[in-house]
Amino acid sequence: MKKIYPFKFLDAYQREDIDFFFGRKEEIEALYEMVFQTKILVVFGFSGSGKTSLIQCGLANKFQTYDWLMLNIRRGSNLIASLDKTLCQQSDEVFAYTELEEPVISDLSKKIEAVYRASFKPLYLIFDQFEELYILGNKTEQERFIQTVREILLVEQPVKIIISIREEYLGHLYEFERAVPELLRKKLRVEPMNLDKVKTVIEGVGRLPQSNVRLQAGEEDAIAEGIFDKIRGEEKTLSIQLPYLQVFLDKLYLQTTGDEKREADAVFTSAALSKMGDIGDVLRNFLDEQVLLTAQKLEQKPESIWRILSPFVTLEGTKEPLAEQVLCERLPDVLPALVGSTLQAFVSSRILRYTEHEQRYEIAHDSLAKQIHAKRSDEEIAILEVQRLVHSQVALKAEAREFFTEKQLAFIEPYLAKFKAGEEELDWIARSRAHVKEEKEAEAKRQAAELVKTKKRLRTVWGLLAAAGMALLAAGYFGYNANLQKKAADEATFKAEQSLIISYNSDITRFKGEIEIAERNRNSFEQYKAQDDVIRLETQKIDSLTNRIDTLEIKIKLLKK
Amino acid sequence: MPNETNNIIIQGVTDSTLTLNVNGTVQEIHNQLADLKALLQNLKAPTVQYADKIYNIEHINEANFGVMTSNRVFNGVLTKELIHFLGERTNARQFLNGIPAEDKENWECVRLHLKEAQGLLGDSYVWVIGWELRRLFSIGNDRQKSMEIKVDEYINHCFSTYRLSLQLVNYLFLSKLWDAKKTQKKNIDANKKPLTDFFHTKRLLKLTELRTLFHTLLEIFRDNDLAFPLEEMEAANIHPYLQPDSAFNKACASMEALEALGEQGEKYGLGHCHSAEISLATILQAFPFFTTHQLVTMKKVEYEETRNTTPRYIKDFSILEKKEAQNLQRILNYDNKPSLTYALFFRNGRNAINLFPFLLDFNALTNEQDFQIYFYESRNGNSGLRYFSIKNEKEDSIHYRAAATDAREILSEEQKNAEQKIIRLDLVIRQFEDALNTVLDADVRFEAIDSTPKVDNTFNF
Repeated sequence: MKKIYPFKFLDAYQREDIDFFFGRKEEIEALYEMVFQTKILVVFGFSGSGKTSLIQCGLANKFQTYDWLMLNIRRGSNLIASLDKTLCQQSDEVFAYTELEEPVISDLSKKIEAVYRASFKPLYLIFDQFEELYILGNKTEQERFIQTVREILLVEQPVKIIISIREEYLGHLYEFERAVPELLRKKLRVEPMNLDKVKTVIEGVGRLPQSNVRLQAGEEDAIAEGIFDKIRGEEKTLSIQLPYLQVFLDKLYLQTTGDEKREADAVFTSAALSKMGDIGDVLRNFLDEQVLLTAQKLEQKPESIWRILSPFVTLEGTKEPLAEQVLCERLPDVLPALVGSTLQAFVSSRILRYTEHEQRYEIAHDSLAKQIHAKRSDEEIAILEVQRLVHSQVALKAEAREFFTEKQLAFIEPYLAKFKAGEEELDWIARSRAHVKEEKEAEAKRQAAELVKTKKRLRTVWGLLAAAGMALLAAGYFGYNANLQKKAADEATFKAEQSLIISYNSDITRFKGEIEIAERNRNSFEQYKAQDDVIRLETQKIDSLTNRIDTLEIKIKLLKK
Repeated sequence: MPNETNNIIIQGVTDSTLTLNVNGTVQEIHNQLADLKALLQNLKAPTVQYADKIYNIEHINEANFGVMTSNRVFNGVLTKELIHFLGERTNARQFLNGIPAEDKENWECVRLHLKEAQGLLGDSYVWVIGWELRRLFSIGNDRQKSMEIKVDEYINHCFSTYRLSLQLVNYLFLSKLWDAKKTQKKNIDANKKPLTDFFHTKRLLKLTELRTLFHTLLEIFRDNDLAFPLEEMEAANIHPYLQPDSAFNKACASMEALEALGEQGEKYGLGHCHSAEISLATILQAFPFFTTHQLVTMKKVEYEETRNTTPRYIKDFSILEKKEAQNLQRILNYDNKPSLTYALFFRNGRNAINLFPFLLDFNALTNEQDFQIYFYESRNGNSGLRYFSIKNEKEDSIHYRAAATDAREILSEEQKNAEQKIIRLDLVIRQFEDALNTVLDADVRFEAIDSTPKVDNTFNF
């Protein structure tokens, strides 16, 4: 029997790797049960917990081939576009994929029907590394994806959806769950590997007849525990990450056999294990080694090689899949041939993974992405920040964009030559510059106009002040004169009023005398029973004189006032 | 005179070529029947060998040439037979009318037409049978699989489709018989060996035993003048099912003989597949009601009655088939008629037969979404029943736990669900027990199994 190397290094386990896939029995059963209880479910866990292997190897093997058509979908440049491309490719040439600037899936239900009819197998749409939709995708892409899922859940064919997402991004599913309430009804957490599971893996692999790795008889437990301890390091955590275990076991194998082809038989011993460093050393050494080896092979400085790896990692230290052409565009000062050779070298050493379907390269695992991120210089980080700033603005529709501010342009300018901005991006930067310039000029003009206005206003104020002074003097002079005149006038008025009062008083005296006479006449006429008319005339005369006296008295009062 | 000495063996088959060994010399020709026939005529050879079978060139035609030499038309015969059987059904007629004249005769050899016809068949049959046909089409269309595995999987699914067909028909009769004995109080003697075996067996019944049970049930219905469960199968027209030399019984016998061959350790070949496919087509044609009925699972029925009003029932049920572009439907229906909960109906517009507990929807019993149809297979000890899950092709047992149904305090929704689940699964056993005792006039009691329920490690919110 031909023996096989049992470790997967940084690759996920696939359907055909089932013989070597240990330690996930309970999770596989739970997931298998859930698949029959809902149309959509979520598998979550920390990076490196083995979600992809659990689905692609563990779950896949629970199904007969005629009951399982797995379509594994990664975001690529856009999740909708990736799904569309996958469906078209599987549609038995019924549909051809057309790349769209704004990806949407036309004829979604017909495409699913075509995929189903190509094989008559129930479809399992696996959205792997779903967090990429939130790390790299925008709001429009996220909303369209939710809408697409809603449509898929209504199709007539047997289709199930499995979302695989890193635990720390679970909260991002809030909007998704609002639109698809059954989303989180069934979910499975993939626990990191604890000591018992690590033992199952290591001892299981050691016992397999087709495996070329054995554990020293009698030392099985000690070796498994030793490996677990080395991987968890000084933090003494209760669990470890699967990729670390895989990398560590690979290193232990290489240390034991020295066989790069991984064909030789190996027996792991406690003694060999004790010579190994912990996982941090192993990972650092591994990446450093590979970068150094690649640099030597390509006759480059290691820094140049690190630079080529850098764009594959986001500012947060997670993976960012890139096509070769995009990478070249991001590294305008690096020869495309060197980029190509470096990519090939890293694919061979399994640091990078190439997906034929997407035609993209990506770092094999987030654990390596972290190491690459840690190696970045301040300048590299600044360039990435600039890139992100520029990309994020230009990604918006023209009417929604905002020009870069002067401060942002000052941050962008020094690094502009160090990454190849797209035509649209350069155009937006140029327009931002022009906009800033225009704004500045407009501001200067506005200020100048303001100055002129201010001066004019000042002149007016001075003029007004002078006029006011003159007016004040004139007012003083005229006031004095007026005062004198007023005094004379007042005296004259007083005199006139006094004479009027005297005159009125004499009239009143006279009128009172006339009233006395009229009253006497009236009394006489009443006594001698004179005619009424005569009496009335005398009464009227009295009233009239009385009124006149009242009027005169009022006038006198007013004059006195 | 044909030259009997020429020894021609097909060594390899691709989509475009046949690799032949002609008397020790390897030769390649186009993968076309005309080319093969021409070569054999030139060599005056009447037969050709492929795998361990020898085929007479006179008996090879376009329909079975594909079956013999490649996977291109693995399901050709089955598909063609069933589509023509559907005949005047609108969608089948439209499909047949739409085939271009040049493809009319051997349309099943044209991938495009074959797939369209298979899609149509999958949608036309009652869910269980449609699902099995889907599996046959999937196996037949798989180009990655080795021929050996493909043959094995294909023939085994011909057997399972036949088995499920017989089980479904038997359960229709058994359900009806149970109801008749319960309600009509007639003195029906159903204590026959095939029925006793069925109710008491602790192993999977063989195909022959299932057919015998079918015959026995037909005879009981005929002899006791009982109303047959289906209009299509009444006393006047059951003759073909009972007559030993009818096409139906011959096809069944052929299928059973093939199963027996496998049990004797014989390796199946393409010829066996071809026979199984033809037999299955005949058997399915004998059960036309599979294309006119639907499976409907009644998940939950809620009851509402407010003061001075008549009560109403809210029925949450799913129709499993997708007919005439209707999706798998979940319907919430308000009406004043009570209904059976957790029932699984075989129904059309006029008729509905409850197949519970011989067929059940496990997800309805466990309060889960989607559906999982279980077919009763046999008893499992004195406490349980063994079922076959159609979707995952696995056996699962339901055991009697004698769960208490007295009033108790419930602390959480999860606890309520867990307790209800056990009570509902007990119902399955109780119902089976009643069916057994009613049909066989017996007094059998299942024993409670002493164990705690399975731990559910899924996350329910």
